[in-house]
Amino acid sequence: MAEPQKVAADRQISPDALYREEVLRARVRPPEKRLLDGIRLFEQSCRIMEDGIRHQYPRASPAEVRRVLSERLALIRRLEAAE
Amino acid sequence: MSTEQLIGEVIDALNRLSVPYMLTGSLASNFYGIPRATMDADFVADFSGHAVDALAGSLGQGLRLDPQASFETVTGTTRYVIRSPVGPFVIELFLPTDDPHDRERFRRRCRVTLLGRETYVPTVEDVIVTKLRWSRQGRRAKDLDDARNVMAVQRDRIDWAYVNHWCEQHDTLALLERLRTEVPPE
Repeated sequence: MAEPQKVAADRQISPDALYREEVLRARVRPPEKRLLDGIRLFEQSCRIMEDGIRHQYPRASPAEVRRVLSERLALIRRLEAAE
Repeated sequence: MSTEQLIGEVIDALNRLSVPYMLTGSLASNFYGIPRATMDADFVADFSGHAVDALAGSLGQGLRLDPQASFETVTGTTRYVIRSPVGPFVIELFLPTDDPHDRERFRRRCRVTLLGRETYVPTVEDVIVTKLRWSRQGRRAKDLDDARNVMAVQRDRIDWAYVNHWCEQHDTLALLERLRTEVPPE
């Protein structure tokens, strides 16, 4: 995914305008859908992380991929708690 | 079991046991603001008069409630964790505290329908107040982003006098004012 600043430069749209668009989209989306979007974004992120793990460890079994994913998520939790 | 089913299962169990609760954390800020990925669902649940064991026994489909409570450093509260046998998503159940704002936000919680079930969320004002408080004076960027996004999306629906009152109590008024200047104009 391109960085927001890069997209903004390509389309000649400022980061502020992009944020405003994001706000306007959220305003018309029902609250329940916004809540569930967060869950689906996490599930998509996990799938991408699993792809990365499989790329890094091509011989890993599905159980090993899940274990490495869990370790990485635990690391994220520890880093967030230490902020 | 999908993450949505996992959350629905916990809501069903809390409703069945008549445990007063509300869905908090990033799911609540997603409800009012701009969605972002979240790896857990946080609930505040008042188990007074209910054994936590009853909840553990009421959960189905292999969900496991860790019997040992732990202390959560960001919010300074006690929590129980529910894990799914299949995915990395976790449910965290926080016990209510005696803190004046925690008591007030629990009292003001709203009933909504989520996943076809009756459930409870904090008011928009209490999401903002809590996010600013948890940001540790602005050091946790994601809490600040959540608070600003909720303000930007909800704007005219916010009782600012209420938000100002509690931010003053929590010494986060300057932070609130700064974020309000970052909200895009209409």
